[in-house]
Amino acid sequence: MSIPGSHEAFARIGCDIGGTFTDVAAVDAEGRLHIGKRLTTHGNEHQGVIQAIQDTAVDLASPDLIVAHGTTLVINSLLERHGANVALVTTLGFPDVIDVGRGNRSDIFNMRFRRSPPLIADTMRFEVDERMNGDGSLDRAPSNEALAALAERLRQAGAEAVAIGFLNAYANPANEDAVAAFLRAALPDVPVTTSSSISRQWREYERFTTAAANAYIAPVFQRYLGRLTGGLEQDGFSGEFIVLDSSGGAMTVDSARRQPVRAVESGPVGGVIGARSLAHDLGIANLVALDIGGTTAKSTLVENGDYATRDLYWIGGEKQGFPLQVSTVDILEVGVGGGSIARIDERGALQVGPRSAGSKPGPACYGLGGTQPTLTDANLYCGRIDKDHFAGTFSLDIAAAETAIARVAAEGGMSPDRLALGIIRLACLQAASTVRRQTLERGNDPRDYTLLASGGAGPLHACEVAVEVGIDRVLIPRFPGHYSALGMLSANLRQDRREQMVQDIDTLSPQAVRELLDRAASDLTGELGGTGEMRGEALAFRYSVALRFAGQEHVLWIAPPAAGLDVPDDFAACFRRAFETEYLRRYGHLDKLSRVETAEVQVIAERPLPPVSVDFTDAADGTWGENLSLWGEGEGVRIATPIIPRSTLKEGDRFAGPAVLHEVGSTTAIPPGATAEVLRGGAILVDVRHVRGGSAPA
Amino acid sequence: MTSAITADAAVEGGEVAAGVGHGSTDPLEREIFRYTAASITEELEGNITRTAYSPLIQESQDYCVSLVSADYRPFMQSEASIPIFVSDMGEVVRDAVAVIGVDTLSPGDVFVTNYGSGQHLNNVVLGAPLFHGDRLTAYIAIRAHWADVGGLVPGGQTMAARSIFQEGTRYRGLRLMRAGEIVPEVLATLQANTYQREALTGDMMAQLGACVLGARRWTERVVARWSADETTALIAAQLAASEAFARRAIRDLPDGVYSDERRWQFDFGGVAVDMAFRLEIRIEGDRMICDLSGMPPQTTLPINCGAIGGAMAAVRLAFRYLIGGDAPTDGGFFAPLEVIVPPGTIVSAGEEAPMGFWNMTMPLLIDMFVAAIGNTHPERVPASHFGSIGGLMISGRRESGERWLMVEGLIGGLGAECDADGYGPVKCLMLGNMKGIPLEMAEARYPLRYRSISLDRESGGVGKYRGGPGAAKVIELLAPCSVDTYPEPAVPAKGLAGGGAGKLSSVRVRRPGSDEWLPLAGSSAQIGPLPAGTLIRQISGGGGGWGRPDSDSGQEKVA
Repeated sequence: MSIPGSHEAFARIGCDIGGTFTDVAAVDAEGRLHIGKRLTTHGNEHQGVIQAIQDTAVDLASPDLIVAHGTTLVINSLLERHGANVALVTTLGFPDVIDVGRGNRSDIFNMRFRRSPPLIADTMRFEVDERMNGDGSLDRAPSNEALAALAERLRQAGAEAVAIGFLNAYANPANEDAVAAFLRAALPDVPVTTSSSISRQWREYERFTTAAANAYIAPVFQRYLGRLTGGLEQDGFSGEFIVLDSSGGAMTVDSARRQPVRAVESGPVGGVIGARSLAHDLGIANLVALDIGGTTAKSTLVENGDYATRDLYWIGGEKQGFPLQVSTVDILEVGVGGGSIARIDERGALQVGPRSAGSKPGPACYGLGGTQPTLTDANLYCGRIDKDHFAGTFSLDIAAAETAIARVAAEGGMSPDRLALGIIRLACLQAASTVRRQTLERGNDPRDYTLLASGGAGPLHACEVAVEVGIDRVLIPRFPGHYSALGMLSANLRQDRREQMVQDIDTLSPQAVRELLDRAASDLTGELGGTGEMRGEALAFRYSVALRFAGQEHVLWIAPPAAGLDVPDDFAACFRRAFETEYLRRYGHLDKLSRVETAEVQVIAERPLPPVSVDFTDAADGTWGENLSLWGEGEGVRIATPIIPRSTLKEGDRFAGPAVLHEVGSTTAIPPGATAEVLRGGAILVDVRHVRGGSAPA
Repeated sequence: MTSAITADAAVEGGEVAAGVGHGSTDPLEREIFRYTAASITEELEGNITRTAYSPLIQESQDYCVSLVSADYRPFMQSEASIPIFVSDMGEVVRDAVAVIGVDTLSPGDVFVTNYGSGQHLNNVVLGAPLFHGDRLTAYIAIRAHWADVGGLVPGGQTMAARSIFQEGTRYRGLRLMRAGEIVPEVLATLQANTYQREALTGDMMAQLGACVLGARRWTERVVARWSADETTALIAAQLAASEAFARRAIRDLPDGVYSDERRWQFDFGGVAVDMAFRLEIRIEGDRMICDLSGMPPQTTLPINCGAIGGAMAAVRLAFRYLIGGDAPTDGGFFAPLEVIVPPGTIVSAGEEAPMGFWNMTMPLLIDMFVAAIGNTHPERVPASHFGSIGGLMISGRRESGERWLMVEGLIGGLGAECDADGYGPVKCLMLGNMKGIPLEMAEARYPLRYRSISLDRESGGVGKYRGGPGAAKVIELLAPCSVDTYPEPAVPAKGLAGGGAGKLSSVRVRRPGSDEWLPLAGSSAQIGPLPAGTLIRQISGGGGGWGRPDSDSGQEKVA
């Protein structure tokens, strides 16, 4: 199907394997977009993928095809503890670093506090007589006899994978590397992970735990990737297969086999990549991507063409879980979504979520036996979802929603109208709290941002969330219900590297920074350049430096004036100026007395893949309807609201709220006072300044 | 004379209508208000963490943000840090405002106070009035641990202090900012009374910046949405709902008199201590009275605390642990709890008593409160925990002359429960989400080298369920250092329902050329620096066990 000789025409497939559904977004060589959805076929995931791809009419055998894949397998294996029998090899005297942790009781009012146990039991921890000093100099290396004995003990213990975590390996990985090389030779079938290969940051507990997690899932993930790529190849696939990386790029299969822990947010990250790509296409500098599904709302920041990442990710939550020291797109999550159940709690207060009705029994209006009112029921009650056009699926039972809402309203001593509006309001407040944490609370003015809504329930609530946070514009992309798979189409290969560099900025020579950057860049080239077979443009590098006032722990990341790895000769002056400006902007006060120091350097290497061009035009069909909808203008005040099939809208169309748009996978609610415009490419931009409570003067 | 501290003077003790429909507010409006108030404390918490200087504030989060009603009842607090900080903020604000005079407060004012709360002087509160127009509707109050406010030693805390005047300077409602402008002579005076001008200035500005931001957010998010009357009604309704929740929880506990007793004996800095503690709880319907008349008298050592920030704060926190549940930790929640404490005890010490290590008895008080219930109803609570702040303070000077200080807070085992082993090692029940410093960071920053760190799996008390484990660390000094530590009362964590006691915490020192691990008595103000090559071993205790070992007999104890 590909057009010979054309460099613009590549087929690309984005494939998101979730716990329930396998979503596929495919662009054929002519740029036509196809969406496929199948139930996930656990244990034989390639079958679901192949079926979904067949739905899309893209030829799997096309030689230029790139399949970008995101999966929740890694996070689920870690959460459900389906991993290998792993051994931890660590510095003599420090077998229990992964138990002791940081000693904080993160649930402060709970005297029965407990964290989930480490992934590796104490019987599977093995100490080695080695030591690096705090400055990275070698104290002693392990002896070969000791390593031979170690290999034998690992064999006897039945270790299926090995994690190596040595103290101060962040500063000098030589001992970790030497032991890894020895064990790989002695135990060729056992995957070995060194802590320094995944992270070069200090904090031994976090780094060892990360190495342990990587080793724990490596055998499982390697088998899974083997099944998946093998299955696709049997069906004729001969193109490239890449795996979405939590840091917001993609990695080669080879990297994914060695560092599966990097795929921990592999699923949701697709939507974030899509958001960045859309922001780029539309020339939007600052954007918050808000995804609301059935049980959670997630928000992510895209600023100046890139997303914020963080270096710590918690498996099972920060209160009880364990940390991974991997660069992860900064996705904030709160437990509210379409399935969230509303109830009056023991204090007599109305609660929405975090309990969700899920898909079984689901919201009351699904008619599958659910009796508790959910956020979806409230939207149906208010007429913001049309009963005959719910995300393009089945028709909904309005009477069941009304009954459920009336019952809880009576408990709370209020009218059903007030309860239904209140459920939506509380859900929006919770979603708004995540958005606010990423904007206002970081010193960013929300009016500089556009809110991008995705997920089945995102476009339903985005306008109200925007008004709450103080954002003026909401963007509804095409296919918001399949946004993660769609976003994967624009993933590039990418890898990040962070290095400690704690030094007074005035005594740091630009040459030392250059050398550090060069070394990091050369390592990253090895990782990304790899086989040399991967198509794509030349590697693009950029870096940033973490700065703080001497004495502080928290840092601000400052980028140099230009892209690339160029280090200006006036490094200190240049970075200090930028740091002070940003500090003042964010925190409102500045300390002129203190020295400025560098803490870390981050290098990002990206290999852009050929861009796909997507033609979003499709046949207009469907007819408009009308509902009497409740928009919060007062109890009992229902307003005539057009019910519009999204496919009937075309570029340049303008309309005012109230309106409800429906399409496969999602519903969009545009409140009274808002005005909407269909942009080139089909995304809809909604101006909410004149919505009640919005930023425009009344 | 015996004084009774009720949670808040403004609320009548009687029955409060439970559940819905408090005044003109409904459950929905209350919840929206709660989210709005929480969005403010949460934002300020992040702001302080990112801009503070002291490791105690950044890594350990030794601070707390609180919103307090116009009648001094806390109604919202940050939840990430030190739990004991959250319960007495109303009284601290009340005292400062009484000194200043409420009528002289204007928008844009920020006051400083560390007087009379009964904690060490490092714990300094910055407070700001919040307004609807010209009507004062609430306060924001932020407590943070300052580097020091003068005193005998940098840091302000030393076991050598025998009076609070040796521990630094007291401020009582000093206006650091008036109508949005910093008062320069006040700033200069604060800066003049510290050994660590840079760190103090940085932390104080972070705290001040957060107060100013908080006042702005109050205007943007609360004033814009609710009138002064509505706001007052919403706060009152929330407090009433929390109170009703707490009263229901107390009613679920059987009426009766419960008690616990402990004894501390130790020598420290030449002072022999022998203290007997008794705590009594009376439950009468939906009221709970905690009587601390049996506390030992105040001591010459700086391990006293005051009635508000000490006794009341610890008992309120213990009450919070006991009740649990998803209710806000606010003034209403504590309303049904009455604390009786005569003046002059170790937890209600007088004006001039030294309080540098004010928190030393706090974990004990919490354990005693919980055990008082547990002695009669062991299935309702866990056994006692290792119960020690156990701060190990290592300090020295760099070649540049710059002073460094590392504080290693102790982590140990929690008590076992009727259906589970205890967890550990974690910070004690007075502290909370404080993170220990990573070994790698400590080795890179200080002339220290860790020899080992391990879990002491045998340290938890035996029982049907075992107490949580403590840990053992060995640290080598690579340069001469001063080392200071808390005293060690020789009292292990008590078991419950026949469970055994946990192992004791200890700090021992082995000088170069010696094989003997010796106790470290005295403080940095009294003993010279230890030489390079000295090893320091810090062992943390385990939690108490629950139920007799190898039996199911624990259940027989259920009353």
